[in-house]
Amino acid sequence: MRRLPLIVLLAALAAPGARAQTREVRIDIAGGGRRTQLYCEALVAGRLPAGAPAARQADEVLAGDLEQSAVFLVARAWSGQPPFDVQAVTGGRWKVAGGQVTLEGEVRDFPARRPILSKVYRGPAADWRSLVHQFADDIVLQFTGESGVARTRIAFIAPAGRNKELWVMDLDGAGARALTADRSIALSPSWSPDGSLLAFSTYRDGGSPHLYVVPAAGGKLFQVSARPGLNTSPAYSPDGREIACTLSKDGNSEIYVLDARGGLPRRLTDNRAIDTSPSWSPTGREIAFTSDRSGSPQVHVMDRDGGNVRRLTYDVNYTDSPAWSPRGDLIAFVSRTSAGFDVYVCGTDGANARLVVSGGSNENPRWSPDGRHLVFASNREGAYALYVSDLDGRSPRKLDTGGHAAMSPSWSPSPHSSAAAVPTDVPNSNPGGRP
Amino acid sequence: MTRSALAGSAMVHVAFLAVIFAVRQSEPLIVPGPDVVQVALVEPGAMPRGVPSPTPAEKAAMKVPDIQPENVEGVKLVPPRKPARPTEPAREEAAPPSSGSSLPYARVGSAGLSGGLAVDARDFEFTYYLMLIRNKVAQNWAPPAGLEGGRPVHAVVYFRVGRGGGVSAIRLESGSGIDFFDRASLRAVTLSDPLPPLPLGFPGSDLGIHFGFEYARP
Amino acid sequence: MRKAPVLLVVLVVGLAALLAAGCAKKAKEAPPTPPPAPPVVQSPTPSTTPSTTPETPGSEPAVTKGDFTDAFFDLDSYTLRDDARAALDLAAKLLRDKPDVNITLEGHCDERGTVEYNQALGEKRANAARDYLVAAGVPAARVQTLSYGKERPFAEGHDESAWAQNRRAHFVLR
Repeated sequence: MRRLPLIVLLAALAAPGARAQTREVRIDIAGGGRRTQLYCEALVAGRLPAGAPAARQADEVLAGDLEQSAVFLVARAWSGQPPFDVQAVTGGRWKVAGGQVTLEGEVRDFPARRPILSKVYRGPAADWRSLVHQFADDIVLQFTGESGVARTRIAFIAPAGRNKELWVMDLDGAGARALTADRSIALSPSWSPDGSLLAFSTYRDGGSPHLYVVPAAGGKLFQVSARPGLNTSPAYSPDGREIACTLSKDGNSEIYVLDARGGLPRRLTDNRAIDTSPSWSPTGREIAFTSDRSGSPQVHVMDRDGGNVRRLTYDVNYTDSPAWSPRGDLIAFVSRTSAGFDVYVCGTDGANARLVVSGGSNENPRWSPDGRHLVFASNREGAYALYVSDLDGRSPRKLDTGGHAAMSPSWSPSPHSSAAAVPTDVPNSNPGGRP
Repeated sequence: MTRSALAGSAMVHVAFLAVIFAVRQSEPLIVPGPDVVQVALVEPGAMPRGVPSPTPAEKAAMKVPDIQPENVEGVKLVPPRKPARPTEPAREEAAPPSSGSSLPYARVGSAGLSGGLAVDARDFEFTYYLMLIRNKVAQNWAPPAGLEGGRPVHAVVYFRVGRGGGVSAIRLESGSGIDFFDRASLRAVTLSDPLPPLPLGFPGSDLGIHFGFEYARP
Repeated sequence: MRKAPVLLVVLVVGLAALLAAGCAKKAKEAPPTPPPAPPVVQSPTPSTTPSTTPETPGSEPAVTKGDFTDAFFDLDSYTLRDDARAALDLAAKLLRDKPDVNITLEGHCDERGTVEYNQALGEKRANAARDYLVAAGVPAARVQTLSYGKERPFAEGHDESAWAQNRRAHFVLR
């Protein structure tokens, strides 16, 4: 008898639970669906003062950044391409007045043009490219949840006759300039995690290579390690407080960790083999490196105190040049071939090693800060040049280094990264020598 | 039964009902709004090319006024390069399963996986965003081992997406009856956190999604 | 009175004879022809970098870079081959004979390793050559080492003949 009200109760609950009228909206997802199709409409600009950057230049920078992100397929309205199969539209307004540029950037869905993103960017006219890069990075953020890398920079080594100098440039090739003019050999650049410094190895002191640090904006060089023997392959730790490197001061090439000023060396490897090319995990708890302790060079992984050494992969022969992805899930490396080197990635446990770049010789793979792209040097077209692979099987695209041959690239961190600041008052331990 | 006992029982039931309804209003379980947009993801070619041609008003809006910049001495105008239409090389992708099933399939994700999204909101028609959710969750979904072939299994996972893309309130809304399939579906949603931020034009603070996983082992 | 000129002639002739004898003696004391250079062992190719040695003043012949033959290595190896040992044997003898001569051994590699690994391998090659010289009696302070990895190749080609030339420990006079 008592149960009846309960059943009534349940029925009363169930009735409003019935689904209301549904409306079917069918979406045609063409082309595999992995890249969102964007239509770039030209920024609307009024009268611009003489010498002002043109809206069309901003349009091209934006479209280029969005294409490079590997997130979008981009069509350009100003090239006469129609908005076919397009999911969203970019555009906005471009104003220049009083030495300031204002970019009102908009992204809307298509064809209804409902707003997806709307932001205003303002800055000095001389810096107009960074405003556009920022808009591009925000568009990538809006569609993926992670900022793009249009505002990042690439450091690289440019041969100059018999010498090699250190250069830095924006990812799109703008602002390329030399940071050294030593008429010597500079090698192995490594960015500090706040993007303000570059550590590198150089023969500028006349004997064995030493480690130096230079501000990425240009300036004085600071000597960090000039110990007897080799001082090579520097790598800043993720917190910026330490530099892993190779020193041979104790008779053999070993991995050491120095503090950011080059002091307090901690020895990590102790082995008659060659140990070199350290690369930190993004947590800073492990270091990948190259060792030929098993007979030929192979990538190994150890804890940050040197313990628990293990070989990374047994599936690939002669591996070197490890690069730990900032996402923490993959390690890139090279493997020697008859033509030089190919680039592979595998899991941090060595699983699923797969070839990602081949053709010619491909060296020094380094990750973008979002872990989506690999930059590397390749001689596939003759002279060494820099290329970027998006790990999706498509042909790598070439970076613009202004006609210079380029090798040994390193990708800067994202501008908004919150890594601990690196001490900038690194003392010059060679006060009587060259600045 | 005594009258007081009956009255007491009725009061308890009314109170119970009130509590249930109160709880339900704060946490919509099935369908809070009057309309549900049911999104089905369709194989291309299964329907006529669906992009509607722009209305004349839209066409006028799309036309970009040809404004020449002011005398730009000192600034080199870069002539726009004619970019080649991006060609998609033949890539290995999950092949759409051949099927006689009426339910449409999407290409992204594991072979054999399909399903539709339902969204808890009126007028949420940002189809690009639903596709982003669909793609990310499908990419994070791995077919569990041990499923028998042939028979399709179906589960629905509910979750909410915040303005910044954060995923919360993940819950199995309707199970398949196979525990590890349900867990694989929940895991795919958990791994997809965070999703992209919500579009500016959507005013809500968050969005409820009913994500249906249908899998028939190919 | 007639005897005085005869005496003069005898004196002059005698003096002349003495002088002539003295000059002839000096001629005999002139430094002998320079000793022949140590025999050069046939190696794949001779070193080609230009000499930087100044002429040593005095009677000793100058030691030039050409007096040294570089030690060559196999791919990926810093083990001394027989031809390398022979070149180092001769270098050791030369260095023992000429205690004023100091050298730097530069380690070099071909392009088939990475930049950093080759810097380390080049150092091992230079060290192997140095250790051999030290064991042959050359004081270690007279032999410095320096590695250039693959950064200063001797041959720019991309085949074995070029690579073989680049895998070496190279003698440089200090």
